[in-house]
Amino acid sequence: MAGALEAQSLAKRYRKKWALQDCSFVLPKGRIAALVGPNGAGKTTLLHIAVGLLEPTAGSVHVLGGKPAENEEMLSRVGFVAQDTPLYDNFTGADLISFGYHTNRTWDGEFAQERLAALQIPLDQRASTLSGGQRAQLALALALAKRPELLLLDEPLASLDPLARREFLGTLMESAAEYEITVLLSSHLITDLERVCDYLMILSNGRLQLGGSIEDLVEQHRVLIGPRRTGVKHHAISGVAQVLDESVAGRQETLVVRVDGPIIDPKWEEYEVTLEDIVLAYLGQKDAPAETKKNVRAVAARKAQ
Amino acid sequence: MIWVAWRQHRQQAMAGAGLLALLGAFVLVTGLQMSHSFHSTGLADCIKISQNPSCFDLSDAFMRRFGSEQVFAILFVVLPVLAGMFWGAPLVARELERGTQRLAWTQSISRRRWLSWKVGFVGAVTALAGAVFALLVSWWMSPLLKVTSYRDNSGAAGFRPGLFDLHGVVPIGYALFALALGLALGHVIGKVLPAMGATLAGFIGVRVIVELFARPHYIAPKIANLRFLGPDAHGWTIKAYSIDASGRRFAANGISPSDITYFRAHCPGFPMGPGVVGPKADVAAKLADACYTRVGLHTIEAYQPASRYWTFQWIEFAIFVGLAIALVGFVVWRINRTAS
Repeated sequence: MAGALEAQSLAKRYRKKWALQDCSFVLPKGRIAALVGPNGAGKTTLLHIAVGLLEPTAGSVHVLGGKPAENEEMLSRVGFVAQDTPLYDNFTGADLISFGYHTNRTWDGEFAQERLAALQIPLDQRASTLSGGQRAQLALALALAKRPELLLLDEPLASLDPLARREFLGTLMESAAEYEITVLLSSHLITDLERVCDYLMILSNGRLQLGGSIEDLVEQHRVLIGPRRTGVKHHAISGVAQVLDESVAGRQETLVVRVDGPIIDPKWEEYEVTLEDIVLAYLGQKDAPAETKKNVRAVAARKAQ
Repeated sequence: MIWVAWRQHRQQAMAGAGLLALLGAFVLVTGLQMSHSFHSTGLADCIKISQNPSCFDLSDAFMRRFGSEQVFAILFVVLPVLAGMFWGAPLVARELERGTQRLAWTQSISRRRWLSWKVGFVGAVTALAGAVFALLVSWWMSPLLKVTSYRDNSGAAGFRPGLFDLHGVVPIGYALFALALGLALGHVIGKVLPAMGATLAGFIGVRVIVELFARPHYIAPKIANLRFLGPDAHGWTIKAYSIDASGRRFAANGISPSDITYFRAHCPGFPMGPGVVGPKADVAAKLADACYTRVGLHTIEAYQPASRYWTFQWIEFAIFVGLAIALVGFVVWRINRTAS
């Protein structure tokens, strides 16, 4: 099955620093995918390459079977909401809809107007005077009015309060389902996206740590809790392919593992993982960021329940 | 897309139009006064006869009244670079500075088409404003230039550096060049204010270099052999010196004390100083002239004849428009190299 977005050994270097390295993945069509990673992980770089704002240093990327932004037809099939939702500050909502009409091949201005009316965002107010949530909604409405097949959003929730987040994701999900849009949205927090995504990509230090459908990922991972055992290699546990994270609380030990078979050893209690467990475990794999510490607490808290 | 360009840049366009309207009104009012006085006093008809010395008093009165308005000419020298700083520099730099290129370049319009609409719109406005203003200033200056040409007997005051730059077609070329320079520097620098500063510096640099080093040589100057301290050749004098039969060189425009010693050695009775006045002045002048003839003193002048004025205007216009096209071409090439 052809992917909506495919990358082969994608890499991007800024002067001496690699922002993205050896990144290969296939994002299947029809997915709502979360691109998760800490700040500076390379999420924006990856998205900018996908929409043609940046050129990769090495490797290749295909969007809907073509090169990013290779022509105006390709541009018209991909929607993009950039970080901090850039809009022309002195344009009103109506101006921005008009802007979209003049700069796009397919344009559903009515959709954008209806959307904004439903959200009670005034059309005659300048973008600079709108709240963060309204700006984000306006940017989303503009991106959707393009009728894209693939929609990429860079940290769209970062500046929104919880209510605005819910509204934003509501609009996004509704439209994605109605128009069968493949969506890839980045965030540094998975908790925001848990409810809406069915695909997960974890990016850290410029490398893709994990990518797959959430159903499969939850299937493949477990939290194990058992007695603390010193000097014993964990991979000795039958059914465990890889220990991703381990933490000790008192005489107990908590592991986040990838499994390749049933856990038979009765010493280990088996629990389902949450997406947060998986994300934090994979982010901790290399040059553990501070968030891993939270993982220890999260797992310890679960045991206490 | 023309709508987008207009919507995006209408504030700058309006501000520019406002400034030009203000200046235009000033130019119109003073120009009408000047033109009226030039014709009603009879000065216009008087100086049609070349070298007519009787117009001198009239021209004096005219220059006393209007000569000070030449100061405003400085304003018109500055105008083109304002187009570069306030229209050209922000054109792409503001998008890069605010990150809105991420919005513009991800709609379904190629970057080159996007750029050509913006540059086309602002470029057309600049060319139009430049043309209107160049015409207006040319009309405004023409009595001043005619009187000045009469008074310095060059026949071509408009050819002089500083005046050449203000009228004819060159101001349009300067404005288009400034615009393209602002655009290119804005794209490279990516910040509006530094780009404006760089545009100002770059524009001044290029203008000075062209004016001092290129313009005198667009066409090889003519050489004239003239009477010492007599009238200049008609046109723009580039270089002049005086020489006598023995090969001694003199300044073309005056006599130094050592020259006087030299003349007195050859012609006894040569006046002691240049400041001989009163009834003896005529006698002194005749004596001096006789001496110049005797030592074979004459002036060699390299000059651009007044008849080349429009040729030079078009050459300089072509140079600046050519530079503008090259700069826009550079941006068109660079904008597709994806770096944001």
